[in-house]
Amino acid sequence: MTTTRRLVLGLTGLLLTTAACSGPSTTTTAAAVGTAAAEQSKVLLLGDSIAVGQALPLAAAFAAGGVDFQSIAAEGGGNVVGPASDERWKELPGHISAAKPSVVVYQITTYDWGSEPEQQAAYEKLLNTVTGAGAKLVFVTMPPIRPGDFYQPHMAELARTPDVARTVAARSSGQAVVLDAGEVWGTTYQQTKDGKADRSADGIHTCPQGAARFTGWLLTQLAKVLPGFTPPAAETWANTGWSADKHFKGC
Amino acid sequence: MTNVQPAVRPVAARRAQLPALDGLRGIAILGVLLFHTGHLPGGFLGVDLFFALSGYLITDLLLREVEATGTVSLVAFWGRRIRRLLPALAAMLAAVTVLVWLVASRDVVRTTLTDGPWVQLNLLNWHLLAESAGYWDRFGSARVFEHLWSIAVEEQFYLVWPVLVLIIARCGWRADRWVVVAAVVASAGSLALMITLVSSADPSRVYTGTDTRAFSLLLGAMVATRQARVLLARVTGRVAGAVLASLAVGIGVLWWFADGVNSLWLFTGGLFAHSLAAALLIGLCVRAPDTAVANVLAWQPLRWLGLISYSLYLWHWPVSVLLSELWTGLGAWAQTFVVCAVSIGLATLSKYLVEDPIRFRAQWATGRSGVFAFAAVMAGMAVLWLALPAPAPPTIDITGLN
Repeated sequence: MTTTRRLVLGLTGLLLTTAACSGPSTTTTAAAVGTAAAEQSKVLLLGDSIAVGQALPLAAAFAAGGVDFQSIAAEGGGNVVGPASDERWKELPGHISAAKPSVVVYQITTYDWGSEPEQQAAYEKLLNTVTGAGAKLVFVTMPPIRPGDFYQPHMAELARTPDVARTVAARSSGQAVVLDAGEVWGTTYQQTKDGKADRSADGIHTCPQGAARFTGWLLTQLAKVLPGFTPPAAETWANTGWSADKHFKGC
Repeated sequence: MTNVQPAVRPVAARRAQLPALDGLRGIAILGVLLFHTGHLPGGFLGVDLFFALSGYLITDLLLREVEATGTVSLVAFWGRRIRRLLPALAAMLAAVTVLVWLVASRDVVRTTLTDGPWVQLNLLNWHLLAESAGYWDRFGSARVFEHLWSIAVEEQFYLVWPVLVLIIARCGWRADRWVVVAAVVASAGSLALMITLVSSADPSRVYTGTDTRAFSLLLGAMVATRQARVLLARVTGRVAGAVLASLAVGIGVLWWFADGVNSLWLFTGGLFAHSLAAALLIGLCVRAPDTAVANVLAWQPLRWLGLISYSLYLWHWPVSVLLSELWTGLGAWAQTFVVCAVSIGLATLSKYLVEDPIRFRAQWATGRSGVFAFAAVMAGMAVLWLALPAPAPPTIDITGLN
């Protein structure tokens, strides 16, 4: 009986180890190890499933650059306006203040549906929450998508989100900026770029190469916001294993 | 997914075969097959029917054991469950994993190697929730083991429910009566949890959570008690056949008109109502086996489908996913035909070459040698997940990233 019990316990341990080893984490707090670290800076990323994928190279890059990084982007959500955003707002202020960020990056989500006043009110509420936590807010426009039936009815609402964000940022007394990621993605969804899979075949998400290009661009942009931060060289973060994550599908 | 016959049946568990219940399993697996091949949007409710059947059959066995011996042998119970469920599951897991590794896309290989250990641990439903698998379904990112969430829910139920019945028996309480109380109270709690936790954006949490789906199994369990049987007999009286027919029609209508797993009404009472109807249907099939509905359910082809339903459930989804990956361009009905034909073929092999020999004839599968066989299978599967290399990470072209 004792032998049997030991056997079962050993087996359970083996299985738990197997399971634990098989799934890399998708949200990470980077350790400050870089030489050009921005003292005590912390970047908090908010967004939807697109941002969840982008968080993977961002985590590697910020770790290499010595900046703490955390992502609370969420698959099937992450939006501050639109479906289920009321539920999200119950927890979001707590999450933001607990993270103690110096910069909050909000990549506008594919769920930011609603009327213009609703969108504006939500972005203002986000600005107040972020500044209340002592951080600056960086809006990043969402990548262009190839809408299916699910998104098609909301494309007009999504199309005006950059302007709404700009309006909110303009009234923020320098506490918010809007970065136009069109510099990375262009104006329409493009699955491949320079012969490499850049965006997922699903028309929404990014592939590792696209996420890496976005990371390189965002690091450069954030260097203007984070005092003392020098973007780490791509060699230090681009091929460190994150591209194997199963979040990247259809690539 | 449960089958009533254990490998070595204790005296207390022996009872007459219930052909109509085999037929119900046949109906349930038909619904699931048609749902997964895109022909019956409400066919997913077949899983709910499986849950109610499992709750009924397991509780019936447990209560008979308590009646005969005054207690429940947990080791014997779990041994029977393992002999019943593990062999076909392990065979399918190993075969599908190797096949996926050889022929499927990188995405499917990754999810298969990640999901496998969680299937083995019987925790797949929680793992899929952690992975937001329900969200990715929208983009057609199918995982070959995704359907096994329901097996995980059942296995978790088998872990907890017999312990509760044992406690009731050990306390010297009247098992039947207290099992009813436990089933009713826990069902109500489970429903309340479902209503509280449901999110209109993504109901996956309540659809696949063990806590929020427990009522389906518990309502089946409730119907297995003497109190419920007596009440059912008193209420239905001589019109049991008519009530049975009404329930069958009601469930059929629901299966026909339910529009996928994302309708909010399902999670604010709809699924509970279906589970209750399914449980009552089961109870009445047992009470009135000579009624027209029970006779239809006992139709031999339907029964046979029910008898292979466990293996058919295991195989149909990997077959469907891999077929879609490897053989594109088939029409909807042609694909349905191929999926059904291949799945039924594999399920038949699984039933007669794996399930039945181990359940009915393998003496080595019991006692100490059974424990070692179980350990060997578990260790073998763990080695499989660790030994098969995951696809290499795609190399990032760093030109221009700086």
